[in-house]
Amino acid sequence: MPDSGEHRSPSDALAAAAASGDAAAWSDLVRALSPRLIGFLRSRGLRPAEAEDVAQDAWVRVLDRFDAYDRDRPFRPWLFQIAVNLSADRGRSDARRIARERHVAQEKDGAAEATDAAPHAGIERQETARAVAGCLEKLSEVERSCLGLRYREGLKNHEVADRLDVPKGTVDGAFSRGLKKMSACLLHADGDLSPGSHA
Amino acid sequence: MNAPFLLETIPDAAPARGPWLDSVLVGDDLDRLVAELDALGSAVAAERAPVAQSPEAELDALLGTHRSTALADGLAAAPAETVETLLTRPELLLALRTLVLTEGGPHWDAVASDDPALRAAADRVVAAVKQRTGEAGETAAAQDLPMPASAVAPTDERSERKRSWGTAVLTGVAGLALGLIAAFFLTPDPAAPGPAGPAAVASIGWGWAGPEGLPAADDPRAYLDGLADEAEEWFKKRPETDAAVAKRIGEFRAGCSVLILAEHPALPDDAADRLREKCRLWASALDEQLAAVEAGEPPIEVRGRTDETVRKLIVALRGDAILAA
Repeated sequence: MPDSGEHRSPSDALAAAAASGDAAAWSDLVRALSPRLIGFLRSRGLRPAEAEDVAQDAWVRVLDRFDAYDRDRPFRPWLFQIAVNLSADRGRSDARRIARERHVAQEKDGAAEATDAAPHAGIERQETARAVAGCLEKLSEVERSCLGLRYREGLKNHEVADRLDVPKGTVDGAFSRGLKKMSACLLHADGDLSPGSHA
Repeated sequence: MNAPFLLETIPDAAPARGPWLDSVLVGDDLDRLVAELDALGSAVAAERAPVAQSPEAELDALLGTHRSTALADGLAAAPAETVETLLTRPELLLALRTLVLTEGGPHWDAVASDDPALRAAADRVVAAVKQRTGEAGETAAAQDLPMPASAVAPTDERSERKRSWGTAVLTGVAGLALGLIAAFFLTPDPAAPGPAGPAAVASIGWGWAGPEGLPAADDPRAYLDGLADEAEEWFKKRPETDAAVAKRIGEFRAGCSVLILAEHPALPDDAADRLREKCRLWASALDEQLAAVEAGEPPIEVRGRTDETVRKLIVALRGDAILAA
């Protein structure tokens, strides 16, 4: 969970003022921390609207419980913990829907289990990975290898050339063509990944 | 998915990669980046020695002494080689996202604020929080609003707002669907004719599923305010029996279907999509509340939970209306 040992930050000062009834500080605090709070909730697998909903509830809860806020402690971890608790509360009803979606995704895929505790993100990631894999299949072998070795192995083009035992110019061209083809394919990938479905 | 290949957008210049990764980590793009790396890994069968450590421990080892500076100042403060390695390791990127969002300093607040999608979402949250915390008295008044069920005939609940014909057709479909559901759940004895039969619920006289459809306003603000006005009709009746509370929640739920299925021509595409997504959340809450009544929970307690759901959605609609202006 959020670390409680961070140093005092500007948001801590705002929180202390807001807890004392400073309306302007409250407004600044909500404005300053909401983007990251929403990003944090999204990273836990909440959909955009869910994340906004939980963020709203978290702020309302903070206002209700400011009396319980220890002003000597960092504010952000306290806020994030409240948001985590709220998202867990509502998770009971959402769990059924998520389980349904996961079941559907797995039936479509036949494999690929989400590897983290963010089920929505896991499903979206699987869908993206499927689209990317579909586009990769349309590349030539050398184009596919160039992209893979560059991005997954972290190799430079000359190292890729050595690995594949081809001239560096071949790698340069294949890499450049592969990127262009992938972007064109993904921009047109609406689930139709059949050959000829993209430019 | 209609999105470019994210890996193609990695800056060529090493010093620019840290800031690029900062923004990807806090925004919505990280899952796409991870998916692209996963797919590439499968395509080239990337071989990696089995790792005994957790991604978190491995990340700590990779960041080493740069961990605290990365948390304070972002990945621009980390060596270029570290960033290079991170960009090839999707599991470490996920661990890093959690780390910076939970333990990062104000730099990461600023990065999140610079993300257009997070900024827009935060603006909606700020507007909604302002309304919810500023109008507590007003909503409490709405909660206590006494309104005998017999005082308002369903057709009288509608205001004289103009409606679109398209949404009127949708509401008719939703009303019919609700009627069929209600015929199944609410009629005590299907064989016996009585006032609680489907005819009593087949047409909904209020809210989004009412006979006149959704607001016909052309501009987003008027349209969203019109939706909020219609949602407020929920508070005009305060049913107390289980059947009456279930019927009322079911009617509101039918309205959610109308919103989910409607095209919302007054709204830009992204705002219409966002509205539908929110509708699904509200629908999910209402489904749970309807199930609670059917399971025998005290109907007035459940109605209170529905009040809260409706208040939140009204605030969300009014907040979006303000931002749409």
